[in-house]
Amino acid sequence: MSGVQAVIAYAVVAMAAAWIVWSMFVPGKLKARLRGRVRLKR
Amino acid sequence: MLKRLQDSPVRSAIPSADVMARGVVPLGRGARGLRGVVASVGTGALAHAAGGLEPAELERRLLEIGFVEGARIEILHEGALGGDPIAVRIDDARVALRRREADAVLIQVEAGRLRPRRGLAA
Amino acid sequence: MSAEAVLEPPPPSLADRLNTEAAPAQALPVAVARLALIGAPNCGKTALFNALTGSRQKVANYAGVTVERKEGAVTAVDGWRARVLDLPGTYSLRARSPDEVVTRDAVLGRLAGETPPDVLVCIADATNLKGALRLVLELKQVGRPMVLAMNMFDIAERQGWRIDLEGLSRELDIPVVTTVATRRRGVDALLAAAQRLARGPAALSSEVAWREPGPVELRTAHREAERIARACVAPPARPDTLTGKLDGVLLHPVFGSAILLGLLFLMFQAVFTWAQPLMDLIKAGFDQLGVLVGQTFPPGLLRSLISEGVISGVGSVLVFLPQILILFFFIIVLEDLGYMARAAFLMDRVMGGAGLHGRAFIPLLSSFACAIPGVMGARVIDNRRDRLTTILVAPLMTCSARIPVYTLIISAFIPNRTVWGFASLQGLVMFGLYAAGIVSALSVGFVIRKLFWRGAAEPFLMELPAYKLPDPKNVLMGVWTRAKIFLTRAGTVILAMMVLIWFLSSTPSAPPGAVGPAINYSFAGMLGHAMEPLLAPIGFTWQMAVALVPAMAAREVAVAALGTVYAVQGGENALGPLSGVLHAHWSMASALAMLAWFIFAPQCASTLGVVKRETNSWKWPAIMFAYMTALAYVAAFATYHIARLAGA
Repeated sequence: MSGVQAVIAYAVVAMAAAWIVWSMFVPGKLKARLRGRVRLKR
Repeated sequence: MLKRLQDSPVRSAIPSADVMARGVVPLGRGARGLRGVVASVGTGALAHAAGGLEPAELERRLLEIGFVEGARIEILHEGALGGDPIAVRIDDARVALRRREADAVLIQVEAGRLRPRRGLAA
Repeated sequence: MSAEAVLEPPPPSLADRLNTEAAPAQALPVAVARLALIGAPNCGKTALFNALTGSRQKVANYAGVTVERKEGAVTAVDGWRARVLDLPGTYSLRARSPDEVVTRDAVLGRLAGETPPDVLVCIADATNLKGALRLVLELKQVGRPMVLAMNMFDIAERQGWRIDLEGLSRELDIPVVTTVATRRRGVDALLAAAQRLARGPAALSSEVAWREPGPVELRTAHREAERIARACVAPPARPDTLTGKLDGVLLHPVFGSAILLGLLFLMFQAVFTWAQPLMDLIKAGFDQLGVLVGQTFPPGLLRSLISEGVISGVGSVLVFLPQILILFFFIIVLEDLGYMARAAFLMDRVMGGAGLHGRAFIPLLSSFACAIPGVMGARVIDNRRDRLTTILVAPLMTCSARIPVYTLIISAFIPNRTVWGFASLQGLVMFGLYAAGIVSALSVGFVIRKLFWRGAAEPFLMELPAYKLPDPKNVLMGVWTRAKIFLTRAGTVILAMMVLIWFLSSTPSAPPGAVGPAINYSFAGMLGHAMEPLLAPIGFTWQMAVALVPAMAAREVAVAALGTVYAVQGGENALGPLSGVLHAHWSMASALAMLAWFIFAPQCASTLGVVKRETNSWKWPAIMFAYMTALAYVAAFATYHIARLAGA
């Protein structure tokens, strides 16, 4: 049980870290380009 | 124009006393209540304003906010410290600006006084 | 002439453009039209935007820049739908501030990621037409379909302005509509006019004819506007004197300054006393939530993350929502009244002495609640350097997140006694800390101006709008917009930071059978221990150093962290016991050094993040962090050693 909790907790931490990096360190232009590509593939 | 003003006997009056304004004066030298018509914009005591914007840019800004030749002007209010900035009525609008920028607007005076020199030095 | 009158320019001039007869019959499923609102500041643009879109609006940022983008949906009575974009206010397309650049580029269709508007809605204050006419003349060069909305038409009528709408429409060759945005009057007529324009042929070409006007063009536009105004507008026989009379008092060198001080005092009272019950309520709610989680979840890392990381972390920031909203309520009301321009006038000399622009007064005022709205508010300053100076000094103003730290240390170390017969010593210290914040902000501004950016001072040149009674609905919508922005931040950036900080202060966990608090063994604890030798010269113990790490999330978290470090149950709630513990563990000199540190303390990651966003570079947050840390260190060092010498 505590193992499952730890996995979820660390996954949340990793997501938070990734999100901070994405939202604060990735330049806006690069973001727009990446988003554009994702949309094109769909 | 400015030169004439400086050479006039007006300037040699007691420094701390108000003096009647006559002829064409920079708006920045006027005291509260000075009324007149804009004679020219951007050609006044530009040396004064040189610390700030380029003269051409200042001229455009002044024009944009409403200082244009022929506009009717009245100095409505003066700031508490050193009489700076000033609030001016231009036709129907009210505008606030510092005396340094106001010096670039020359006024054909109808009535009013000049600000004591002491205030200018500040 | 009714206030809802719509006047089309007479045929032949526009008959080909406005196919009034043909369009409704076809009823083609046209793509949703895009309207863009453009107008000078104070023309009631936002009120009209609210009247058009109601609550159906979305606030975001333009791609790549940090200018607020407000868009909303509107449906006309006949079912026609459009999207309305509220562009930042501007006097001309000759953009100077980032906001005005967005307006210019949006109008010209140059803005990346933004579809050019189909119809421009130019909004004019009907009581102050001349300036608006110049903007209309300039916008006409762009060549997009345009309608002129004469807003605040009721006030103009009441004041006795007589405006020949037909003549205006003919002279300008565009439809003219009268509106009273605060009462939603004229909105249908405006939409109908916009609809006809949108169904007509689009802008002739994307190669717009606009170019930046020079002095000659400006003077020509003045003359043209003057000519049109003389032909179509008759000023009131008895001009409005209310604004003049009010200015006589409010701009008076003595009374005006006294009234400004009184208003500021009232604002602070409101922010710090009225907000208290609400803040207690929010706090109690989050505590309850924490208890609930504790009861439902089995013990483990996830429970710890939710209750200690998310709930208490985000809760500690959300507690400031009432204060921020009250502050913004005051700012919006004063802004709508037209008083903010007067405040800038009164404060310009004081601010100017410190190398700041008169307009910096408003952002710096906001910074007393939180530096984030202050940094964002610096957008009202056109000049880049003035804006950067304001942004750099804004976090020095004592934000409300410092209050819990100040309160804790003061209650632990400053004796509660009366000095000079009336003043409380604790209150005096608090006041001193606020004063130190203001003085340091002004001095840093002065130093930046004198040492780094000499010369090239931005002129103080602003319109003093006529006084108007604020519209309650608009004020509430403005406050609601602020609330949404703050809540979004708390739910995104702050939440993510809190999760990270929880991770740092709980991992690795304490070994079995360990003594002392668990944070001791975590990354945060290691960091605290590592920093200890650095902080020893300013009298900080390792516990204090550890508390500074989570304080990066928000300054007041330092209190909760100290609670954890000293294993005091209840954290922030238990100011009583915690202050007793601190009194036992810290020397007076250390406590005073901590206070001095927090005057400057650069440790609020959200502020640094927002500075990065506002300046679009890491350079400025780095400079801010460096100079504030240096100041904090020097101040704490000096305080500690002087206090030691004084025998504390």
